[in-house]
Amino acid sequence: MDANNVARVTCPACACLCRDVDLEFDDRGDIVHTYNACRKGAAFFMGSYRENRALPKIEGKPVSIDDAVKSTVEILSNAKNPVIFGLDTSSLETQVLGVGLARKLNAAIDDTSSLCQGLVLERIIPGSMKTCTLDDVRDYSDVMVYWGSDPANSHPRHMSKFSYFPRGKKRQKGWETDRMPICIDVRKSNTAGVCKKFYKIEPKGDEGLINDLLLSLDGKIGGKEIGGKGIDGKEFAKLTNILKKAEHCTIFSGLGLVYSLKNSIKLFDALIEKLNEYAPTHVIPMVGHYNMRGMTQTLYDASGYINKVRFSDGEVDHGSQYSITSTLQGKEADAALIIGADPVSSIPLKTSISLAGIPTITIDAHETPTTMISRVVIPAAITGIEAGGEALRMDGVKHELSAPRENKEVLSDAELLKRILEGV
Amino acid sequence: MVSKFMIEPEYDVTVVTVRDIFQSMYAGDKFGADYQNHSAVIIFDESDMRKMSMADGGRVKVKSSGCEVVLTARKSEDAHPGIAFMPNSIYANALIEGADDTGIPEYKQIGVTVSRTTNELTGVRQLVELQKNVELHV
Ligand code: SF4
Repeated sequence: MDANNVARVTCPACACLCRDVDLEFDDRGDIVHTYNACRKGAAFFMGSYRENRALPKIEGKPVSIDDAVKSTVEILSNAKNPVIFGLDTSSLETQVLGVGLARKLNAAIDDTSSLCQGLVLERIIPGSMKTCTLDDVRDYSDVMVYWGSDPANSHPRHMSKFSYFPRGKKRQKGWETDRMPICIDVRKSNTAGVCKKFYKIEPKGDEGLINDLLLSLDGKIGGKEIGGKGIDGKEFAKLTNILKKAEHCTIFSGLGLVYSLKNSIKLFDALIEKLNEYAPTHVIPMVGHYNMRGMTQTLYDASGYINKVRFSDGEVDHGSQYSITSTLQGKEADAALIIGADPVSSIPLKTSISLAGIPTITIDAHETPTTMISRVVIPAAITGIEAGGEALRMDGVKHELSAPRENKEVLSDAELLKRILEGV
Repeated sequence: MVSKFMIEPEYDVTVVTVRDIFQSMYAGDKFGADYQNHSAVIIFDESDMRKMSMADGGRVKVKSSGCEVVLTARKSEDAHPGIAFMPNSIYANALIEGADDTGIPEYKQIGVTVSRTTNELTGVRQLVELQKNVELHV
């Protein structure tokens, strides 16, 4: 904190992890102003620590944090088939503790990546898909493809800090002449509105577009043959050309692309491989939660898999049967520990609501639909405001999070997990 | 499709989930009016709205197999007949069936029927309570 009560912090409101956010505090320690943050980041810093805070509860009744932790230890120790879910909004240190707990309990462990960017991250993290950092994008990328992603809404400063507007080492002329942003989406999103090229496809049209691109890159089909699929033939030929001639191309894969491809993700592998025959082409998944990249890396380092893991007496099993949706759909879990996640809001309700039928413990800073149906609720400090740590940005670059505001009424999720680990 | 047995006609629409910066601003309080008002929203193509005689800001009942929510209808600035957009939230997740063998739910092609209604918006707590009762009493 400087003499003007201003502290420079890293913003954990999305996986851009902007490190240039300034917070101004009043004499009571309240945040009264944010500088440099986007709307989303500013709302996080101004509002999240004040409102809707979770309180320690067992079966809806207020208890002490000690009692909530004791009850958690009892539930998890007695469970035969526990599942741990979340940790995408926790520090790397907390994630390591969470994975350690899963190992100790012989539990299944999964995070939100199994419902979204996991398909891309399981290629990026082991190195089978070419990637680069956001700093590389700023310095070198001349072609940026926002494919099924809409950073203007999901990662508001992505384009201004890294991918479109800034000048970089080899992009000194900036966005006007040095960069070609392309958006591929099913709708004219806000991102599409500022891109120089927009290709509107039909829902689930990604597979067809990739197939056409593969043929077109090899010169097997020409412009006009693409007509009728929603993209003008001439414009499609231009797209092929731009991608082929790029000096440094980065594709920002969004949920639109991942959800559309699912089992056909291998087509995307083929496209990236083919594009690299012509131009250096990289992929950065538009990870949402600020440390989902960290969680997938942490679990990969511990088990060889980025998500959907089951520990069993030191052995590791992996497969879609351990995804949170499969585990809950099959009603196999007999206890659940949810850490910094809200599956009742973020996965199909018909599936997530089965958490109401088993002893569910939720560690969260806020009351959520998931705390509403949890048997035990343990409040946690907000990482990035009340607790520090480290996190991986969407491109895997490590950043430090600070704790500029003290809150003595709550413990960090790392401290809570340490206490649970000691007890089980 | 119009059912002759309904007072208000029902129409088939495909819902695609999207992100919305304004909704994400209020994600710290999912029971707050701001979050609910930015989440309980379905955005229609203008010609679809005319066909369904729906007003921008009016209420619509959105149904999928087994779940029903009341949302605010909004007019899109873009043309996308037959397709509607919803911010990703508990409301969209209430309409989605479970996941297939990939573990990934069908967020980009949710088949729903919509009809006009004068009912109140479905609240987040109400939605959770309803589903919880279904879960605990089957
Ligand atoms: S872009 Fe993301 S990390 Fe940067 S200020 Fe906005 S919410 Fe925070």
